[in-house]
This record gives sequence, C-alpha cells and structure tokens, in this order.
Amino acid sequence: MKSKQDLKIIYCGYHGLYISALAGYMHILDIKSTQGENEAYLLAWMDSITRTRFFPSGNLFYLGLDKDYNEVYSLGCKNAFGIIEKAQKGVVAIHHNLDGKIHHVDISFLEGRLCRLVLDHTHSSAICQRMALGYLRHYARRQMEKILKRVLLVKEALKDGGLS
Amino acid sequence: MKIIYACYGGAHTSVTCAAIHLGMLPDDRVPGSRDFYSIPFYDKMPNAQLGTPRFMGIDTMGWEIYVMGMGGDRKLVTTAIYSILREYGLDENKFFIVNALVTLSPITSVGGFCSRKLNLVGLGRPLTIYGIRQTYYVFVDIVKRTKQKQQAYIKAMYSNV
Repeated sequence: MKSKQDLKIIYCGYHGLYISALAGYMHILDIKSTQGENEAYLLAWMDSITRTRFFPSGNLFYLGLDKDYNEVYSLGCKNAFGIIEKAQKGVVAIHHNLDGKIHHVDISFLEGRLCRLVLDHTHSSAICQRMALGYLRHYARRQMEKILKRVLLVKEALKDGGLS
Repeated sequence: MKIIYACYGGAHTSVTCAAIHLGMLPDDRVPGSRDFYSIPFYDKMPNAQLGTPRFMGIDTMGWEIYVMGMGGDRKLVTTAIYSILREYGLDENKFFIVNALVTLSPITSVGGFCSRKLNLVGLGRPLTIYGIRQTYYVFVDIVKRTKQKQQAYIKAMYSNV
C-alpha cells in the first residue's frame, strides 16, 4: 500500500502567492474557522510571505507538511491551470521510477478579475505595491470563508481517499 | 533521458521535429505530402490533450522522444515542469524541453486553425503540410541543434566518469 507521504497537494492560483498560499496554509494548520485570532494570524502570515518571498509564476512554492505528512505547495498558474496540471502529472508519470501522486487544487476562481489585475502590480512601483497589498489584504479577509470551505472540501476528499 | 518537443497545440511543428529526430522524416530533403500522413499524432492532438506529453518513440541513442502542446504560455508551462522535476530531485539536464514553435508560414497557422479549431480536417491538414514543407529546413535545424546538445551532454557525462 502506498504511504500518504507520497502525496503532494498543490494549491494553484494566479501568482501562487496570496489566495493560493493562504489556502495552503489553512490546509497545513488544519484550521476549522477563520474567526478572531485565526483571521489575524492568517493575514499576518500572508503579509510576511508577501514581503519575504517572490517566486515567478510556474515555480512550486513549498509551504510545509500537513498533519498527515503530505507536502503542501502553492503554484502560480496564471490562466493555464489545466495545461500545467496535465503537464506536471504527465512528466511525473513518464518517469516510471517516481513514486507518488500530485493533486492540483484550482483556487484561482476565488481571485476575481480586479484581484488578478492587482496581483500584477504587487511587484511594481512602491505606491502601486502598497495599494495592491492593501487591496489584497481586504480581499483575502472577504474571501476567507470561501477559501476555507474549499480547503475543507479537499481535506474531506483526502480522508475519503477521493483524490486521484 | 527524455526530450519533449513543444509547440502551441502539439499537433504540427512539434510532431514534425520529433518525426525528423526519430528518422520518420528525412533530414536531407523536403518530404512529400504523403509522408506526413504516416506520422503518428500529426494533426491529431485534440485541444483537451494540451499539456499531456505524448510518446513518439526512442531515438538511436536510447532517449525517449515526446511531443507536447503548451498553449500560449510556453515559458510558464516549461517553468512548472522543471519546478516539479526539482521537487522530485530529478536532474533537469536529463530532460530537454525543445521549443518547436518557430516563425511559421501563415498558411500553416491558418491550416492548423481550420483543422484543430474548426474541425475542417480535409481543408486544414493539407494546408499545414504545405506550410511546413515551405519551412522544412527550419525544423531540420532545430533537430540538428537538439542532437548536438544531446551529444554534448553525453560527452560531458562520460568525461565525469
């Protein structure tokens, strides 16, 4: 029987930071509610990740291990989620000596059009950057419940062995 | 060791390069139109298969040759592929992704659009073949450069032993 350690869960968003990283972090922390302390903690974490890391889209961003020791990543797919999902799975599949499964979770639908536009300015001039980050913080707070819902669905599917 | 020839749809230029690499098409002359009909996957990749690597064959050096359609964002998809390889601890140098999307004759693009998007295979396929035959030596050149890279890699590998 294959061990659970073989599974990589990849939360995919537009840039792979912010919303998708937040979803990945909720997954790792096994959060059940986004109220009170949890919300403040998650937003602070999102800010710190924004300040300290910058990965160009397409690069896997390792977030950590969840409670079942599955590796959790975030990935920036822009608008090519379907192609990247197939490409990564296909490349792993053609290396027959590789054990393990990857599961991609598309979280990009939780990033609205304005959010995507703003995401493009997170690494431009200082003023644009500050405005963008402010908006993203506000947006993340509004979307937190929806993100958590999606994460809980993924966890439920994992528990039922429904992830292929 | 694997080589992936990648283009937009994975149906024409990448398949042509892979076929030249594998010796299914000649590299010293422009093949006839009929020759293209016998190449596996030529003008047959459905849009739903974008991103999936398709096995074409094994070359004389024992390397596996694949074709892949990467859509409009080839750079992003390539980065994502190398990224997952790194996570699995694989040597990126053993995995060549070759860009087969070159400046084409517009006839090829029109043919590809007719065949793949509009499903007008009878009209589109001959147009793609006509267009590819016009710029055939560009593909031969891509394959030659890939083979040189392959040989350089093997040479470097043996010099380290």
